Amino acid sequence: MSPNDWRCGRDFVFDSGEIAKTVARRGLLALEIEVDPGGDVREIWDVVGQAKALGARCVSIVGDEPMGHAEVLDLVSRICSLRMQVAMFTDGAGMSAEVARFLLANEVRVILRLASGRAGLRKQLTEPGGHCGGLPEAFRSLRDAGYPARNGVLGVSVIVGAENYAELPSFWRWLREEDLEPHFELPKAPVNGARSWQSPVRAHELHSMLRVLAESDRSFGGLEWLPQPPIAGSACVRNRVSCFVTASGSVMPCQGVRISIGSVREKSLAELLRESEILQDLRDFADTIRGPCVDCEQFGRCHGCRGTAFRLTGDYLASDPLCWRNADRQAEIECLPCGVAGVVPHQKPMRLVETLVSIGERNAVVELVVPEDGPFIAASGVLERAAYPEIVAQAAAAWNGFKSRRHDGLPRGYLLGIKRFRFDGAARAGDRLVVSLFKVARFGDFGIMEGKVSKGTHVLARGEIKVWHENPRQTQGRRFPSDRESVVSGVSAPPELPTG
Amino acid sequence: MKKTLSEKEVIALTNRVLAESFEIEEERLLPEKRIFADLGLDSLDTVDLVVALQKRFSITIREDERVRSIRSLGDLYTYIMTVQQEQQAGTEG
Repeated sequence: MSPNDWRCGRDFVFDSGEIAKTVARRGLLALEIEVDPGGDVREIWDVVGQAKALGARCVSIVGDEPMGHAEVLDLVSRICSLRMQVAMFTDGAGMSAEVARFLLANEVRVILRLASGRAGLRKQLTEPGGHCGGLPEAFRSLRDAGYPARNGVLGVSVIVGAENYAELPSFWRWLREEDLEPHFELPKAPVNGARSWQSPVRAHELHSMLRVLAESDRSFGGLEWLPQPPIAGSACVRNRVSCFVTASGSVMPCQGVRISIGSVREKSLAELLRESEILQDLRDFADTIRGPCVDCEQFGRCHGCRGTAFRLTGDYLASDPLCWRNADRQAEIECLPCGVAGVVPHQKPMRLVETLVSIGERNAVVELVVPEDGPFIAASGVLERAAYPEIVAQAAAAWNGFKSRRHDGLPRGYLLGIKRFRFDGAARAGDRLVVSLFKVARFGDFGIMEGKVSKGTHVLARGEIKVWHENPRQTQGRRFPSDRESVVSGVSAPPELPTG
Repeated sequence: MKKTLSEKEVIALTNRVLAESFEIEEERLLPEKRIFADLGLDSLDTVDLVVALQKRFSITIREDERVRSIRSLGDLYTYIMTVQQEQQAGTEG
């Protein structure tokens, strides 16, 4: 294996050609689906069928404990009948000898999840009677059934933390010796945890650990891989050719970027994938990601962890704050909410909007406090009605300006028209207003947005604006990923061990 | 699975969109009519037309070479027929 080969386990390997084709047709190569005990198996089956039609050939079954679903084995059997590969992420519940044999017969990749925040990794897996539920019994059942085998990958998932940091290298080596696949990943930061959350493992510690693991693989089996986040032994590019479907039918880019792009209960998966601006941004990551990642020598084949970036900054296109390569450039990684001065061309007193709060699928939220005076304030201190369409237009400018931050200069934009504006109430100086934007449609550089201006729970004005704004991406040069890239197995996947 | 509309249905629905959105008399909506020169739409109307067509046909219209080559109403009918078939088949042109 060379440093330029990127794999996702033995089978979940996609080459750059098929990735490029899949990106171009807005299709799938893999699907992550959440299976909860009460989940509707018909809906899951329907989603899998749609994913298959879109080109997916791998399904990762995830959830709190997917093995707790009464029909999960039937589901596995049916997915396999479509000639799709299955990866099952489990805590080991219900893993009897019979179930283990069934999974092996269907060539299911099984990934056992160790408890996070707890030391004694090997003990968790091998010693019954501890605090780890049925995990040791499940491990024994799987091994008795014949796992790991040529057609039966057995992986072990570990959340890296301060508690287990010291034992990770020896545990990794032991997993390799036992022909088990290590899946090491960082704990998920809380959403909007940018200013409060501290990773239990700092960036340089993660770097050191990955270097040790890479060296271990080099000496153990001649495996070569470049240490880079977010996962040990591989790069993650799942956002380009995969999606995650929750138990309630919401479709999201991945388990880390938990922004719903819509529901399979309302639209087909093909429609959702075709229409999602977030997915398109992630497919075009080399054009869209902002901050220091862009200057990294690995950029183009690595974009850090989108989930970590989203959770820590509120921006799914931010550079990965936990990558050690960005450790000295944290100030260049912008977080939401952020001030819009410098993001929009307007200056006070014409500029009314103040803060871009969040960006979602075709929507954004912006805030402002009504100023004491200025061209939009009447003598009575009331905000003039004419200001509301302007506020909505400025909010749209802030959204587009933020998304264009990577490029030089501010994008030009114009308000072309307003339609169906309705007013109900008035705002006064000092009132805090929230602007909710929804992009109804975009066609080239034209767009139609619905805007709603609220004070607390009361909607003061709502209506539609038509705007023109330039898209700097269309004029920028590009670098594309090359060679082979690993994509999806639900979490990280290390390179395979040589066989024979 | 949505039903694929016939050519006749596509023509009728497209004409209805144009009539409702831009107040164009139905008798002027003939395949050979040029959208800008004969029907009087301008570039600012284009986005409204796209939104209305997307909504009416449940399709996604992107600004690409095929769209840019549309000149007449007949071109538009053909384009919509093609896109709805592609998108229902899960393929992209």
